Amino acid sequence: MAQSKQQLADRFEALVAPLERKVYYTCLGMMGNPEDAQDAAQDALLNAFRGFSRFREDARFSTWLYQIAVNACLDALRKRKETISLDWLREDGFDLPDDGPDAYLQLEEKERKQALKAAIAQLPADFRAAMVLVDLQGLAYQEAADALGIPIGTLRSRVSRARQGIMKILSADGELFLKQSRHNGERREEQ
Amino acid sequence: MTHEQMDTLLDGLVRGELNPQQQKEAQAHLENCPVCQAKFTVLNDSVQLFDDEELPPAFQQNWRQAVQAEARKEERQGGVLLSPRFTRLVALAATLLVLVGGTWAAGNSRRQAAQSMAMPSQADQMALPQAALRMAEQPEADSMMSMDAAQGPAAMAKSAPEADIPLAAPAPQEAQIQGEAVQPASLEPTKPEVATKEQVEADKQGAESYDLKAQQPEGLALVLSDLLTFLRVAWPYFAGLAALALIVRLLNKRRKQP
Repeated sequence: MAQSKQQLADRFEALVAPLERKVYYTCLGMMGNPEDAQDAAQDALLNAFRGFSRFREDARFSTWLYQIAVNACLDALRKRKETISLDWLREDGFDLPDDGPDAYLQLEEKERKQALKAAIAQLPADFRAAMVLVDLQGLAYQEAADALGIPIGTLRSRVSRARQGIMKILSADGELFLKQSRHNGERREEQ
Repeated sequence: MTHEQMDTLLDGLVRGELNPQQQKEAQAHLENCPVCQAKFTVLNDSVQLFDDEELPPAFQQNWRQAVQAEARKEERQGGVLLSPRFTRLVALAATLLVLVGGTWAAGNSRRQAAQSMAMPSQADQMALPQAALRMAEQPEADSMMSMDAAQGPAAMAKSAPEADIPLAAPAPQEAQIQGEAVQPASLEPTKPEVATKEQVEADKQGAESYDLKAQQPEGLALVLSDLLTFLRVAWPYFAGLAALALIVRLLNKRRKQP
């Protein structure tokens, strides 16, 4: 039976409502700040509605929505002309230092999360998308690969390299975090 | 346990998907390995990265408003006439109309062409009975004379015993005596009225092809045959239209692809 646009919009809203949080946080992970994340998430949902009548029922709605959200973010990042050159991430042979990001471990949870967000924002967009879907959103590898439209092997490789990159960034900035942590600790002791 | 082995368990550990034995081994390794402990902490923090973040109320409201506005806009612009179902119906009806009309026209012209080819011309129709009549009247032996007559009066004169006597044109009575092959009124050598064997054969073939009307297909076979004739002529146009429709569809899909 043919549906009017209004009925279609109502049905779309009902399907998206339980997923709107995930769409927004995916965009937040990709864009790095709430303002851009809101814009990207809204664009994604509007695009999804425009294509909703062609959505195949046999496909998984959440995967389809993630795909649209990631594409909206990649478009927005391209418009923002964000060019992060992290060639070292694409090169083989990166080894995590033996001591690891000790400084990171010594930070408080809130500070760790700030540091982690900053590190994620430094990843190239395609690596960031892989990490956001798998590590931040907790998608299964296959679902994330479907959402990104890449083979699962490629996704595994990107996730692995993104994690290595994050560890390296956090290790490199370790001293800074450590100093900040010590400074905060000292302030707390003074109080 | 090595770092690499631990790497394979990290995902499961963070997501709580390891069996008790694996979990015990992983925990034991983490206590003694700062590198893996750091990796685990980063992963664990990643999973909970946005737990403290609140979903902006403006976002929840804005996307719903945008979707509703889009629905109203599409309904205003599209309406029933531009709905995909309606356009598909119109396209189907137009295709059927072209096929039926084209089939009818192709069949009609084919039958007309067949008729004009199979039906003898008026001159042939008049000549046919005369030729048949002559064949019936003349014995087999006279055929040679008829052949000579067909080559003209000059040749006839040569074949005659008095060949050395020039004879431009025999008198009408003489010609009649020699076999009534040449009509008295016509002295034109290139158009003899006498039917040769070849002419008679051709006439017979013409009559047979005229009878082919009776062997033409009927009913569904006729319609299919006409359709085939039409498609044989019109397929490049259909192929062109199909290619055009495909290109438009692809462009449209690309434009709407989120």
